[in-house]
Amino acid sequence: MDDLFEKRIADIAKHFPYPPIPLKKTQTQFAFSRALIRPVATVLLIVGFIAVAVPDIRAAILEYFQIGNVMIYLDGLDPAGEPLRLDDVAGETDIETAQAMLKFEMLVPDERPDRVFVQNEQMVILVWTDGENIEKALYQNRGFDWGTLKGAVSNIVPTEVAGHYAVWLDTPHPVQFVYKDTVQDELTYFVYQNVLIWDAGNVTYRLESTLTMEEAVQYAESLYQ
Amino acid sequence: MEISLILRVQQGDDKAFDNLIEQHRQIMFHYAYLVVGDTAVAEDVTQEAVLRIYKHFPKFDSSQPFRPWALSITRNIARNHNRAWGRYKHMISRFLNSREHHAVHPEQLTQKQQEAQHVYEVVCQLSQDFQDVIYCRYFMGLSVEESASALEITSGTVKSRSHRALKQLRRLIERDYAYLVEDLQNG
Repeated sequence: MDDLFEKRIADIAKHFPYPPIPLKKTQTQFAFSRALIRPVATVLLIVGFIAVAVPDIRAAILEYFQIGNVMIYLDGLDPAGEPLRLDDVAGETDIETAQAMLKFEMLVPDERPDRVFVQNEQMVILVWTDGENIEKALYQNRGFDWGTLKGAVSNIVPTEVAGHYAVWLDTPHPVQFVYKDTVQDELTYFVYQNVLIWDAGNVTYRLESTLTMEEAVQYAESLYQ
Repeated sequence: MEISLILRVQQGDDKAFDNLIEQHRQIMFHYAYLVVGDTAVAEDVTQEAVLRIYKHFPKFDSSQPFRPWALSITRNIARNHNRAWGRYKHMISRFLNSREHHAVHPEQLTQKQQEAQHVYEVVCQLSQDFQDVIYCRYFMGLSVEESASALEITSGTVKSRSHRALKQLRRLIERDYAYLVEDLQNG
């Protein structure tokens, strides 16, 4: 049966719809013209970095970044707000039931979460607490129809998790969840912890914690082992 | 045929280099596209790989096949593009050009292509090592030996990694796109 599965994947994969190669220039000519162009492109990127670092210019150039189904807005930064109140969040369940409810396979950490929430079969929130406060929360969300998550942040650090595109946010920022164009009030809150977001195909993950970026990435990668 | 091109390139024949690259450019672009998921970035990666191949050609061992070497260079550049500096460039370019991850629209695909797109979506959830071995073996149809060269690992590792990657892939497909393997589940 495994051989049949392997053959099935090989049969399917050969039909992958690659886009056409856009360029028809002679290779060496193109390669060397690219070599000349590269310093110019680098300068533009440096300007981009500087611009992103200066709030006024930053807002004018880039309104937001998108990673998976998370929209990160670069302006409208609020100084403070109410943190998430777990008792207001609907869909509390246990981890076994959560997996059965979800339309995708979730990453399950070794450390059992204290509380588990499933939203619209599209998102699971695993929460670890110290009894009162949230120590760590892992959001796993699939599907464009789930909506967007947005917040305004002043700093975005690109990184990666197990080879997946990721960003690190280490400034407090507001967060808002939207499902089918409706803002989810109980999931509109202010996050004071550090946040790691990574996009693994059609599932977007978001980890809130007090970990440093290196620790958070290490933790996230441990979920794949 | 290829060896004569390679020998001419080693003697400084740029036309031979163009011809050699032309034979492999499509598969290099395909690999880059699978890794970065964006046409423009894949094009950049391919061209950068061409430059690097040209620069390092004197070090190439002409007794070895060229394709895996070209693919290993393409892979390294594509993976680097998915790291810090490249990610910023990618993010900005994605924002400025469009927010679509893939250049091919689902409604324009045949059923076979949609199936392949679904498998690709699931493969993207695997670890980087598992993705690479699936791309080499099944998307690009490389042999075990060619995959080993391209990925700079042993043939034994290709086999064991493929086995584990397929196992994980199957679990995800059965969960997300069960229709692709329904008949296998019953058979």
